[in-house]
Amino acid sequence: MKLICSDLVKTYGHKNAVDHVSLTLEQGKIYGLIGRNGAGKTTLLSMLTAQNPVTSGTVTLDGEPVWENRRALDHLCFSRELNVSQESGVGSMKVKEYLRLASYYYPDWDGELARRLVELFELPVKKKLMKLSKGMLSMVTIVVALASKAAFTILDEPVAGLDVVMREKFYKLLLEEYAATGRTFVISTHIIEEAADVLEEVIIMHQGKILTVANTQELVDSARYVSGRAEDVDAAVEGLTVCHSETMGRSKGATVFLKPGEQIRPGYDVTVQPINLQKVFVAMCGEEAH
Amino acid sequence: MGRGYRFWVRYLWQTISVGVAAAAVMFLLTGVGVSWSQVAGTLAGLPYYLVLGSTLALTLICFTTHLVYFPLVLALGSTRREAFWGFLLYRAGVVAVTALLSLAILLPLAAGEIWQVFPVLVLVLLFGCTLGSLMGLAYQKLKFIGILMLMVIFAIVGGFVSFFLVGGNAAEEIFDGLFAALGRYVVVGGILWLLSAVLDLSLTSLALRHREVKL
Amino acid sequence: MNEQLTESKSIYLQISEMIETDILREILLEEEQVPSTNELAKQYTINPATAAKGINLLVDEGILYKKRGIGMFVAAGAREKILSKRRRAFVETYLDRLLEEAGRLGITKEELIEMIREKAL
Repeated sequence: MKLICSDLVKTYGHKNAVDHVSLTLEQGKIYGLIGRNGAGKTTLLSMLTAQNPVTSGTVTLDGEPVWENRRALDHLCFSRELNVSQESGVGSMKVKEYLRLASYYYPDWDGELARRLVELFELPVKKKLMKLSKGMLSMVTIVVALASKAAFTILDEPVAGLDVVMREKFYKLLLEEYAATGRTFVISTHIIEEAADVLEEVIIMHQGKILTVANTQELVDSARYVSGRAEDVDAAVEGLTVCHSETMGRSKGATVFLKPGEQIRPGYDVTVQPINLQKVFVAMCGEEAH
Repeated sequence: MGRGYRFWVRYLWQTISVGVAAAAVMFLLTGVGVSWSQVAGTLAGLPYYLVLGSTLALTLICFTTHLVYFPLVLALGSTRREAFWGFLLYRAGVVAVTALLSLAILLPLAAGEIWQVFPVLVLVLLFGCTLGSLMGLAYQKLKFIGILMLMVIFAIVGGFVSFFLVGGNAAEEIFDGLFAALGRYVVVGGILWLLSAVLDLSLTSLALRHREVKL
Repeated sequence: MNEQLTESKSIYLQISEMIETDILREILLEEEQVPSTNELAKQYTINPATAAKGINLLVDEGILYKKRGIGMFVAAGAREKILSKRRRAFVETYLDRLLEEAGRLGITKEELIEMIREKAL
């Protein structure tokens, strides 16, 4: 069963928030969707889960279109930040009421897991949603995502508002659930480096387009940061894919991606360092990226 | 019935229970310590309370559905079809139960007046739903218009209710007169409602299809 | 295997090196079972696929072997294999870098040998 979107476009006014995106999400993987604010991540995810209509393009699950398709929607869960700010009634709903509602819409809902997580997070079930702190609200959405047992579970910024200890707990819970069920998770996050080890594949999105879909380890392994005197660096990286460079006085630092078989030209006095996912991302999506 | 409707069925059940409980309480409060004939008299007035209460609640709930419940269920994975029909089911359910209860009370007590009064009661209920929903739709597009409509409706009803409560017997007579007058225009009212209902349903369906679940 | 993962090297390589080091330190003995990929994933909060990659690397090199249905075990002669592998890597990992840095600092071969002789005392 694969979740596939083909040439997906979402237009608001004159701008394409999602610009001809094609993706294939497979079963049994943890994907990370990373991108800057406004890159179009949430818009893309909303269309993948049939929550928002597309401007053009198709989204299918196991070959069937997901739009208005109960059977397909049964396997999808899109857990996102709850909006309880308006005087809209959602905020006045109690936690347990919200969880009960969620259980109606997810056929494989695991009430036992939900109970266990609520206890673990010490969630006050009788409290109204609008009275919860931002961290607790995040935890509610995490409970729904994990307990839904949906084959494709998407979490939009799940750790927003969680402190570092709770974030660690979340990653461990995620891995536990993944190990137990092999569900597909798609995590969209800002906190890139922390999540990097957990993500098997990473999807980098920038200004509505997908820049790359790659195995996280392989992407990071292929990247190098080359630094030294500007002339030496230029010589060492000649012919290679330079995605970003910065010059400070006589020195220069360049981020390059090595294709299989390529290497930094030897013989130059430059420092070659490996770089982490976060730095790779900034190099690809920062203002001065090529 | 599909899983997508459980929310609406449960909501219907909750609303009915609350409504019936409220009506029972009202009945007890007004009927305590009076003789049977007085009880009958009070009981005969109950349907009006019931309809009024239901209509107010329905108007508000139908309004809130567009604002709150639609985005909520859509975010949880409901299809738009389920949301549309679930909403319809809910409204029809509340109207039906209220109408039946009123009928059950009116039949033994005021059989003669029934066919003048009952249709008006049903019409009021139906208008409550449709107007509430239309207001909710208006609110989506132009918050200002929606709020204005809501305020106007509540002002009218509020004035009506307080007049009725304070006015005593004179008010009751005026009330009955009003009902009788309305009874003459039932058919026209019915047609008007049908038109507004068609508008409401088509707009709701359209709005749902284009609706975006936003943060 | 209670070290921390660092940023400088691929996670799966770090995992395989940690297992190798444990074998050298005789924390893991030959024919003993090593932690499963899920256990490693949980302990280090990494994706199981990454842990599996590290383990598979060692299986390919004959340091670990798989007992179907049970798990991964340390192969006989693993210690020897690791030692010779690391000796071969020693030149690249340490010697090359040593010579490069020495060159950069202008240290001659004779000075270098003298330094080593002093240290090894």
